[in-house]
Amino acid sequence: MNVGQLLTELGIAVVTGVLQGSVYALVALGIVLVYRGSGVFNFAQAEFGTVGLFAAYAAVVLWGWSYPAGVAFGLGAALAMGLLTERLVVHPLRNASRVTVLVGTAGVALAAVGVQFWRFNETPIMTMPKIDDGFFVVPVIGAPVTVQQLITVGVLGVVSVGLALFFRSPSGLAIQAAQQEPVASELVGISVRRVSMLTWGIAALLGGIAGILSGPYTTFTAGFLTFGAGRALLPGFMAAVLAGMKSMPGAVLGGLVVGVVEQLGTLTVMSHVPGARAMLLFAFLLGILLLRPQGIFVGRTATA
Amino acid sequence: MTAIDTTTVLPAIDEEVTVSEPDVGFRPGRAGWVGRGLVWALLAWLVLALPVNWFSPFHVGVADIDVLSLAVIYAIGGLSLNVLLGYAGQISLGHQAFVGLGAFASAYVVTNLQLGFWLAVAVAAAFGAAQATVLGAVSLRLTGLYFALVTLAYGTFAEETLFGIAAITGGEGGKPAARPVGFEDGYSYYFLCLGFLAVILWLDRRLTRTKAGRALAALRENPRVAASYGINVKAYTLLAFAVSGMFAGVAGSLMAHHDEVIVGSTFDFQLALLFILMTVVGGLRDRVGVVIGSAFFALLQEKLLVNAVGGVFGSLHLDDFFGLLGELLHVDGIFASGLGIPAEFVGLIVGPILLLLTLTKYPGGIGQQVAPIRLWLTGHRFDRHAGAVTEVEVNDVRA
Amino acid sequence: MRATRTGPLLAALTAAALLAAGCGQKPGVAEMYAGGAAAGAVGGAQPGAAADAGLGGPAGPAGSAPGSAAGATTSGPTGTTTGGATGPGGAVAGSRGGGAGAAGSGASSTSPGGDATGVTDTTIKIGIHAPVTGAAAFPQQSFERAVGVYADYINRKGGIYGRKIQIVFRDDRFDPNSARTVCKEMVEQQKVFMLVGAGGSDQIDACARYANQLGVPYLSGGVHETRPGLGPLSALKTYFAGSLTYEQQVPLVARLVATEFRGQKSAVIMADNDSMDNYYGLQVAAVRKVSGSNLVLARRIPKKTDVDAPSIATQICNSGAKVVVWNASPSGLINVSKSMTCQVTFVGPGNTNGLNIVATGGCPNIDGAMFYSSFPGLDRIDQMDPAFRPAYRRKNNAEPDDIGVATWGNEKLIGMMLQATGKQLTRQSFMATIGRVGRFDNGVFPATDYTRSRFGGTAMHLLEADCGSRQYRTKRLNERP
Repeated sequence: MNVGQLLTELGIAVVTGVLQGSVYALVALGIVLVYRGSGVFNFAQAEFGTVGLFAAYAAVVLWGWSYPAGVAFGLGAALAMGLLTERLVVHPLRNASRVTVLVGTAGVALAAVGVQFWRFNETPIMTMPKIDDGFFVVPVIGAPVTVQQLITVGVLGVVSVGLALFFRSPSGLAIQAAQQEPVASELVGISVRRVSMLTWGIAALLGGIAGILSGPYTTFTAGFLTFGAGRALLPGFMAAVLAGMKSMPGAVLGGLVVGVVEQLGTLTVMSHVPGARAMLLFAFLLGILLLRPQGIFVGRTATA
Repeated sequence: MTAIDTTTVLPAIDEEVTVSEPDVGFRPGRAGWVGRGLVWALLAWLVLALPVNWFSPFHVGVADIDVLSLAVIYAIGGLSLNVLLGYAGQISLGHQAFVGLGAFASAYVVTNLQLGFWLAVAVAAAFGAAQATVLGAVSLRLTGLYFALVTLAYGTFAEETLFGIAAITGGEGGKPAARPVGFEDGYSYYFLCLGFLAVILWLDRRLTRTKAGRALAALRENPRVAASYGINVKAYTLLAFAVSGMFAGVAGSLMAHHDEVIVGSTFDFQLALLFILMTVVGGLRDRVGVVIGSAFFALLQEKLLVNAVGGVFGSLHLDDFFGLLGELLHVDGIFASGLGIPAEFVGLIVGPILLLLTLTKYPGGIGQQVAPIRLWLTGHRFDRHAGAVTEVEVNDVRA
Repeated sequence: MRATRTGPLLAALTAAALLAAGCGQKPGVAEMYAGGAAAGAVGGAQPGAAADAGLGGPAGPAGSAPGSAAGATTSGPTGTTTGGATGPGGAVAGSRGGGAGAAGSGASSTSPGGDATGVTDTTIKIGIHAPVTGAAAFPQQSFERAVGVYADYINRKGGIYGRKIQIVFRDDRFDPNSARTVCKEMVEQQKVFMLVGAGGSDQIDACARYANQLGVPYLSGGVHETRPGLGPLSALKTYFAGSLTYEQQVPLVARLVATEFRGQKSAVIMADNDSMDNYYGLQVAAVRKVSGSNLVLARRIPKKTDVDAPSIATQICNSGAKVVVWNASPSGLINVSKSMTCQVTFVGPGNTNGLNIVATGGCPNIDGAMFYSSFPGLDRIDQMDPAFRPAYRRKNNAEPDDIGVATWGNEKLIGMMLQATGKQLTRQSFMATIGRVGRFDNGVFPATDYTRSRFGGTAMHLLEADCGSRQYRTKRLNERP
């Protein structure tokens, strides 16, 4: 194992990690949004993505719809799930302790997995076609990049800018106001209920986008192997923790960092460690929470 | 940094207040005692005789009895999580790792070191307690919700890294774990599991009835107030972790020798959520409810419940007339069962629905539903509202 | 839990107890009670003990009849009545209760010197396990359709010596632990005569070792030959591989690399799974022998490839390899090939990577991949065995897939073995016949030879992925190592 090879592998890991991390950034954005809105750790965030992905897969692959129609259907499914979660779980539990709500969202995730098994157990190996099959190799570093990954990064950029603009618009300001001062907001005519629906709707859409975009990277199957639990939920949460559970730009940056940390597990030096990726993520999370629990990429919106 | 910010987890009945005041001094009459005795006898028959086909019109086969043993083991696992989630108010989304660690420790002792089963159980319990205590120490430095993330990451780490060390765990092919001498067949192993459940239930009762239990209740209510009364918050939180880990280790050990081959991938996130389901739907802090809840989900998960229902219907009349149909329904049980959902996934649909109903509508879970019967059985007057949760506790401290 | 017969008194007692409890099961109990009374009082009151006796019987597979005394009268946990099981009525009763054993081993006309569990005058019960759920499962519907096609076919022709084949199928969830559990259920509760492993090497390993403990014949496609710490599969006295093991395919794969990819750079990628250790060492050595310094990459890969796929793909592309010897999960193959930025050809041993679901998911990236297989592609099966397609259509009213071909082959092989054993069918006579006859050529798989080894495969077919049709096509038949 020489230094040159290690550097090459590191370069590839960083590029691949940033590309993969943009998916986690999208998940993290949804987690931060919900946390700011209702103080809830949303364990169903990744399953919004899976539901979107399975719906899009059904539309595009099984029913032969066009890709845009399939994506729209997937996003619609994710949105519906987000709104249902708000109505059936989050709203009834608005006065319960936050751990109770956390268990509730985990229940939503489990229900989503149950539905996946029910509808999709017939097909054990599912693949979603890429939007574009193209790929190229980054000069010098030698890292492969697929067009699909670039599209994901592009979408992340658009979504980030869109969210930033949205929170400067009247609706966005109303959300921020309701999040900070619910009672006062009600008094000035902002419906906290509508704001909650809006928050969960946007979060579900973010999850859906992440799920649908990451679908073509790998094969997927019903269950937590696809996008939930350790696969995308944990990295998403870690990115949100890096952002202090508050900062939107921090969530984006955090997602990219977590993506790179995860890819370090694929280096040759780690090849004899089983589950190197899971070990790195666990150590990294422990490190952040014990050393800087308030987050790292908190930025100027930290006061929000 | 404060210790525990999340004080209340889920509203549930408090055992000490289940006996309502007017009941004091009530003594059942002769008929009352006979009725209670009959129900007790029936329960005893259900747990002790039916599974081994004594005095039973049903037949419990060698594979069915293994499922019943698993239900007992899951009950121990549920009680383990109940100590953390119910008594200490700490959420664990990595509880499957607690159990798994005990399972592999036990299998290693028996298979690699060639030592006895009883020692293996002790080692598994010790391992479980040790790793839980370490996690507990971490939890003392974190707020409740962040700790949930740590347990999630820990569960994944354990499943993929710890249980992936092939030299110890046998890797994907699994680790053999022979049953103890004298308990090789499923029927005697069932009684072994029952014995362990009894011990765990006794320990659990001891825990809640002693000073430790009262201390835990106080710091669940409000850690700051508890600390001001001189309760050592850290020590009792760690105690809860250690006890929970010990129970989980025992459950893991029993699981390993139950399955006789164990694989790391068994201990995945889905199992963690299953434990949450068992405990919450069973009714937090209600050990009868937790045991019933655990057994219910274990039977649901392992298809026995679905198949038994099918079997009862089948044995009534259906396949006497439609022998071939009955044959198909039974032999290909996986393909049958109603909505086209394989029987082992029924739990995945039913479970979350019950969980959400418990959280939003019936906070006492199964424990609350059976509380009237339980109290009646222990000599109280039958009161349909016994054990009902009168108020929803919301003294939640925001981080 | 299933209804069974028991002493009338006990049934009455429990019925009363249930009545008192108001369980709402009164009709069922009454019915069972009636059945129990009709069956008479022969049924064992303590089936647990009876099960132990039955268990002890077949445990010595080499011995001719250690359990014959128990088997002849009251074997099985239900305590079968000797008279009841002989007629066809007994067989129906057996299948009805999930086959809890009423039609168990107490059959009359079988050899007195052997274990005839699962065999009656009219039926032979066979258990098959395969993963149709779990991390790397096969399509459930494919198995649902495939299982029993040959059994139906042969049963319509009158069965084997008048006995119809009954197939019990169980999902092993791609998990050795579940596999052992379902095998145990099929053997000890369903009382099957023998077991068949239809896929997944670790599950096959776990079940084969279990079956050996109980003396139950076990047949599977060839997988690995040994696992560290657990010893070779060839040491199991009841195990039979129906096709070449991975180790036996080493020369085939090496020759393929040498002839089809002469002078090109090669790589070996294999699952990081201790049952593959032996095969990995042998395969790497063999490829090195034919490729020399052209073997540029040899590594094991983890089970979950979703995160590692890009780095593995990059490593392959950067190594310059043009041919990759692959033996890891099909989903891993698809994931890695999806992340490829170069064109390589995957080759490897049978069977799972040569399934059409891999071609469906992996195309266009895996175009031209060549995998050995014990069964031919759909393009050749009609010439090799014209009976297959009509039989499949007849059972399922659908067009066959390759899992149908594989299962047909397995069931047909077993059918030939049962035929060769003759009327006097016991587990002992069955296994002795396999070793004595040795050669079974079912026209689907290459012929077997069990006279020298339990790994009876002699050759493999070679399949090639054709991404035009998204299927594997048969490239060559019967390649011998």
